[in-house]
Amino acid sequence: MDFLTQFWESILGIFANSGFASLPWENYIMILVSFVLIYLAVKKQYEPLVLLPIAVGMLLVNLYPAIAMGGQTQYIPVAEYLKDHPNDTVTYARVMIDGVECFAKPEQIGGLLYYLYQGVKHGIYPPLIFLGIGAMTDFGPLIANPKSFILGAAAQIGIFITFIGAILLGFAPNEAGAIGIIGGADGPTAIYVTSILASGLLGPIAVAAYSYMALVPIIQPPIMKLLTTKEERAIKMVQLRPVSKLEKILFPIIVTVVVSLLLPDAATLIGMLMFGNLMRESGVVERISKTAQNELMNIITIFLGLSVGSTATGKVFLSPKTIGIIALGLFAFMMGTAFGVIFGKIMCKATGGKVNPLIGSAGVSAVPMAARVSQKVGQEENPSNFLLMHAMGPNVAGVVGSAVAAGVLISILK
Amino acid sequence: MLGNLKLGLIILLTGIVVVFSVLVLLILIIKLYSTIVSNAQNSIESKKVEKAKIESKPEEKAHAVETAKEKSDDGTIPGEVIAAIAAAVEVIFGEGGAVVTSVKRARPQKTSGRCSAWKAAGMAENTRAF
Repeated sequence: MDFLTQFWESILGIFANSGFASLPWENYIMILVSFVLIYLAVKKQYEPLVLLPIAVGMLLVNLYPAIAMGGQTQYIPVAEYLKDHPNDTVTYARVMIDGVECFAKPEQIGGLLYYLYQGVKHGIYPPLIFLGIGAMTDFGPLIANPKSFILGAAAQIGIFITFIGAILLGFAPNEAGAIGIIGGADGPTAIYVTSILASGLLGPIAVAAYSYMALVPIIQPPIMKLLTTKEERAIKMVQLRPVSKLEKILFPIIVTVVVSLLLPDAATLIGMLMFGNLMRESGVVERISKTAQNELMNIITIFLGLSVGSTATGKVFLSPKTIGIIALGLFAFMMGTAFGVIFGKIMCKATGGKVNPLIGSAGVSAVPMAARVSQKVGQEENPSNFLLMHAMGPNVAGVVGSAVAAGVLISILK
Repeated sequence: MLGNLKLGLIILLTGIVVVFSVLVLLILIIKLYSTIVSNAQNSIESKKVEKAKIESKPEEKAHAVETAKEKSDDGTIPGEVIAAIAAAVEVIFGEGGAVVTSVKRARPQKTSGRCSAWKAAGMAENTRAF
C-alpha cells in the first residue's frame, strides 16, 4: 500500500511541477501566437530566417519561463560560513555587503536563453549582424549616384513623425523612440535602439519590425502607386557609371570617420557595417569576409532570434501597448515609404524627369526587398524598365540613414 | 503630456536636420573623392597610353610576334594563334603593359594518380593561409 501511495504522490508531484499546473493563461495564448508565427515562417516564408528563431524562443519561454531567468546567488557572511563549515575548502567569490564580507554562493544557474539574451542586452548581436550585412552589401550603386542618400534620408522622416504619434498615444519618450525606429525597416537597428531605450518592449517591437519587413511587397506598392502618376512610374533611368575599386575601398573608411565624428552614438552600428564592407571590397581578407557573411551571420541570427523571442512573455506581450506598437510600427513604415516616394518626385522634377520616383520607396532599408519592389512596380508600367540597380542606391543609403537616425534617438533619449 | 509633445517636436526637427545634414555631407564628400580618384586614374591611364604609343610601334609589334613564333615550340604554333594570345594579353595588361616573348603548348594533363582541377582548387581554398 505504501508503494502505491508513494507512486501516487510522485505522480502528483510531477503534475504540480508541470506547465499544466503552473502556467498562467497568458502563456497559453502566447504559445498559440508562436504557432501562428511558426506557420507564417514555414508556410508563408515571411522572413523565415529571423521569424522562426523568434517564434521558437517565444514558444520555449512560455512553456518553461525558467529558461529565460537569471541565476540566483546566496550571500553568506564569511565568518558565519566558516564557523558552520570549518573543514570546507571554499572557492566562492567574496563581496562586501554593508561592510560585511560575504561569500557569493551560486544557488541556481540561469536558463539558456537568459545567457543568450546578454548579447542583446549589452548591444552585441545587432552590430555583429551589421558586420555581416556590410560584408554582403555592394555600395557601388550609391557611390555611382550619391544623390541617393537624399532618398535614404527622406525615408527616415517616418521614424520621427511616428515618435510624435507614440507620444500622443501616451508612450514615454524612450518607448516612443524605440517604436519610431520600426519605420527604419531595419531589424538589427530596431533591436539595438530598443535594447538601449526600452528593453521591456523588445519582444513586440522586434516582432513588429520583422513582420513589416516581410510584408514590404504588400505594404509599399499601394502607397507608391497612390503618390505617382503612370508617366512617372514608366521613367527609364540612364545606366550608372562603373565605380573603381579604389572608390569602393575609400567609401567605408570615409563614412565611418565622418559619421562617427558627427554622431558618436551611431559609431558602433556604422563602424561594424563599414568594417564588413571594407573586408569585402579590399579583397585581402576573403576568408573572414566569407565568415562574416555566412557562418557568423547565421550563428548570430539564431542567437538574436531566440533571445528576442524569449522576451515575448505573456504578461509583456498581451498588453494594450502591443496593439499600439503594432499600429504605430505600420504607420512608421508607411510614412517612411511615402516620404521616400515624395522626395523621389521632387528629385524627378529637379532633374527634368531623369529620376523615377519609385526608387524613393527603397530608402526604407529592408535590403534588398524594398529595391525589388521598386523594380517590380516599375516593370508593371514599362516591362523594359530595369530600376533594380538604381533602387539599390537609396536602399543601402537607407541602412546608413536608419543607423544615423538611431544615433540621434539614442543621443537625445538615452 | 505637453512637455513630451514639445520633446517630440524637438526630436522631429533635430532628427530631420541631423540625418539630412550628415547624408548631404556624405554626398559632397563622395562626389569630391570620386572626382579626385577618377581624375588621378585618368591621368595615370593617359600617361600609360602615351608611353605605350612611344614604346611600341607597329613594326616592333610584328617583330615581337615573329620572335615569339621562333621561340614557340620550334615554330609549330601558327602565327595567328600567337597574335591572338598577344592581343588578349594587351587587353588585360593595357598597351605596352606586357610583352609576349614565347608561347608554349601545354601538355595534356594526366588525371590518373594526380588531383583533378576541382580537387586542387578545393585544397587550395581550404589550406590557404590567413
